[in-house]
Amino acid sequence: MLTPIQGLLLGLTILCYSAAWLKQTRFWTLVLPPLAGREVTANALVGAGLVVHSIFMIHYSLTRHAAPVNNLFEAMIFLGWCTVMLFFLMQLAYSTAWLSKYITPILSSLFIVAFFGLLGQHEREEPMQAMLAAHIMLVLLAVGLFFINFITGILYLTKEHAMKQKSSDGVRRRLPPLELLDKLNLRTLLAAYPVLTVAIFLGALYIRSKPEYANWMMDAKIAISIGAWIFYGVVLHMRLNSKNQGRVVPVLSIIGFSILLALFVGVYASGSWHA
Amino acid sequence: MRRLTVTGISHRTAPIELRERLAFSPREVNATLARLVQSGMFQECVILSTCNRVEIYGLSAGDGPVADADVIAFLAGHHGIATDAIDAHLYHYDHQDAIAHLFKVCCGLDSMVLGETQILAQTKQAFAVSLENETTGKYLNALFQRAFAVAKQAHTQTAISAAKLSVASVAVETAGDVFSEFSDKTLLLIGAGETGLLALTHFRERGVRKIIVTNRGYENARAAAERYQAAAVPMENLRDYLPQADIVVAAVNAEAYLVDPEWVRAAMKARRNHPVFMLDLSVPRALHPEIAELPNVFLYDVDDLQGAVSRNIEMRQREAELCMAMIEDQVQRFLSETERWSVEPVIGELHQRMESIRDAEMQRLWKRLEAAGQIDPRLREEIEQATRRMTGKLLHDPSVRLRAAAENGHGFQVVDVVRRLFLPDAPPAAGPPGDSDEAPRA
Repeated sequence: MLTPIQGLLLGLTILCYSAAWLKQTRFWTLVLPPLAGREVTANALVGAGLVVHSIFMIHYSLTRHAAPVNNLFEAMIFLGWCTVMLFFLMQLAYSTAWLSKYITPILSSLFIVAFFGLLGQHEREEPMQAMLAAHIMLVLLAVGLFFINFITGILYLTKEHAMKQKSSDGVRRRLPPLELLDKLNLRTLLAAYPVLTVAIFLGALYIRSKPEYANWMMDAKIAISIGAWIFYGVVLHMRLNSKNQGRVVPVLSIIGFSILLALFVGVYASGSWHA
Repeated sequence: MRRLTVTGISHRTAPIELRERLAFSPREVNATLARLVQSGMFQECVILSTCNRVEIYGLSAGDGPVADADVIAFLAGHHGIATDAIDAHLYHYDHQDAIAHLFKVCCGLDSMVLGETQILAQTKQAFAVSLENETTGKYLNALFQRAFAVAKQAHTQTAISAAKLSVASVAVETAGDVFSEFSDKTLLLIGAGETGLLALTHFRERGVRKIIVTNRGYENARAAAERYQAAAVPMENLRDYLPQADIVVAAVNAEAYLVDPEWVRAAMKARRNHPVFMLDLSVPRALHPEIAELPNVFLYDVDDLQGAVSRNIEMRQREAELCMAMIEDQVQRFLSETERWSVEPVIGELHQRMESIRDAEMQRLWKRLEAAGQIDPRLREEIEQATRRMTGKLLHDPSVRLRAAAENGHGFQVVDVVRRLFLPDAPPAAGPPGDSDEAPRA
C-alpha cells in the first residue's frame, strides 16, 4: 500500500495528466478561462505531472528498496513515466507538442485504472534480482516506444485517409504532415526494437540461471514475446526497405502494438510465474 | 472638446482610377502632414495611403470635430480634383466610429482580402512617418499603439488570417500536409504559363529549391528556368523526369491527359514509393484522375482547391464576427481610458494646491517653533511626512471618483465643478486627451 505522501504525489500526478487532457478539450473553456495556447498549457501540465511523477517514483523505490516494477500497478506507473519522458524527448527533437493531446487521455486512463483497480494486487514478497528488474524496465521502455509508434501509425492512417478523401475538416488540419508522422513512426521503431532485443536477452539470461524454470521455452508468454520480436523485426525490415513506405507499416505498427498490449496485460493478469 | 475624425476613400467606395488620383506619394505625405497641422485644421494627424485606401486620421485642433467638408476641400485642392468628383466616394467617421474604423482597418476587416495582414504593416509605416514628422501626440500615439495591439490580438486569438484564400496558397498549404520540409524536395512544373509560375513562386517561398520546368514550347521553359534558377527539359522527356519529382504542378492547356497512371506507377516504383504531391491547375485536366488512386500519390485539381478556398472564406467571415466583438470591447476601453486623461490635469492641480497650502502652513509653524527654541530635525521630518500623508489621503477618494466619473462620460462636468470649488484661480477646463503636450512618444 502507499504511504500518505505517496498517495498525495500519485493523486497530484493523476490530476496534472487529467488536467492536461481536459485542457485539450472544449470542456476546459466551458469551466475555466483560457490561460494560454491549448498545447502550451497542456504541455506545462504534463511537465508538472512528470516532475511529481518522478518524485513519486523515487520516493516509492527508496521506501521499498526495489525497482518499481514488482507488480502490474507499478509496471503501469513506470510505463506511464517512460511514455511521458519519451514524449518530452521527442518534443525536444521534433517539436511534437501536438502529441500530448493523444497521449494524455490514455495516460490518465492508465493511471486511474492503476490507482483504483490494481493497487496492492500481486504483491511480490521476495526482493527482485537486478537482472530481472532491468529486463522488466527495458520491456516497459520498449512498450512506451511502441506505444508512441502505435499512435503515430494511427495518426498517419487518419491523415492519409483524409488526404485521399480530400477532406478539409479539422482532423486533417490539426494533424502534422505525413512525412513527419512517417519519420516519427520509423524513429520510434528504430529505438524500440534494440531495447526490446536487449530486454529479451536479459530475460533469457535470467531464466537460464533459474533451474526451477527449466522448461521456460514452453511458456506461452515467452513464445508470444519472441513472436512479437520477430514480427517487429519484419516490420522494421520492410520499412527500411522503403518500398513499403506509406500505409503498410503503420497498419503493421498497430497490429504489433495490439499484440504487445495483450501480452503486457495478459502476463500480469494471468498470475503465471512470468508475472 | 477635441475630437478624432477620419476621412478617406477605399476600395469599397471608390474605383481604382479615383484612388490612384487621391493617393499620396511618400514625399507628399511628409509635406501634407506638416500642412494639415500648420493650417490649424488638426492638432495631430496620420495619413494612410495604400493601393486600396487613402485616409486622414486627425485630432481636431479646436473644439468639436473637423468638418468633413474641410477635409474634402483640402484633398480636392491638394490633388487638383473637383470637390463634387470625390464627395460621393469619401467617408467620414467621427470619434468613436473613427476609432472603431482604425481598429477594423488594422485587423484587415476592411481589406479587399478579409483578414490580410499587409495593411497592418502599412498602417505601422504610416504611423512611423507621422512620428518622424512630429505630427502625432499623446492621443494618436496611444490610439495607434492600441490599434496595433488589437490587430495582434485578433490575428493571434482568432483564425482571421490563418486560412489561405488563393488557389496557389491553398495548394502549397495542402502540400504542407504531406511534406514537413520543402528544401530537399524537387518540383516538376508542367507548363510555363502565368498560373504555373504563380504556383511555382508560392512553392519557392515555402523553400523548394530544386525545380524542373517543362513546356510544349521549349523556349518558354528555358526562359522560366532562367528566371527561377531551374532546369528546363523538353516535354517529350516528361516521363523520364517524373521519378525525380516530389511535387508535380501541371498548369497547361492540354486536349488530352499528359500524364497517365501507368507513368506514375512506374515513377513510384523507381522512387521507392516516396510520396508525391500532384497539383493539376489545368482545365481541362492534364493529369489523369485515376492517378489519385495510387498509393502514396496525392492528386489535387482546381475544384478540390477551390472548395477549400470557399470554406476558408466562410471561416474568415465567421472569425471576423469574433474580431468585431473584440474591437467593440477595445473601443469602449480606449474611450474610457482617454476620458480618464481629461481629469488627470485637474487631479494634478488639486494635489499641487493642497501641497502648496500644506507647505505654507508648515513653514509658518517652523518659524514659530524656531523662534521658541530648537526643533528636533527627526521630529520635523515626521511631522512633514504625516501632513503629506494626510493631504494624500484627503485627495485619494476624490481622485478615484473623478476618474470614475470621467470613465462614465461625466468628466468635463465634474472637472468644471471641482475647478469652481477648489481651483477658482486656475484657467478653464481644456479639451480631452490630446490636449496635453506631455505626451510620451511611442
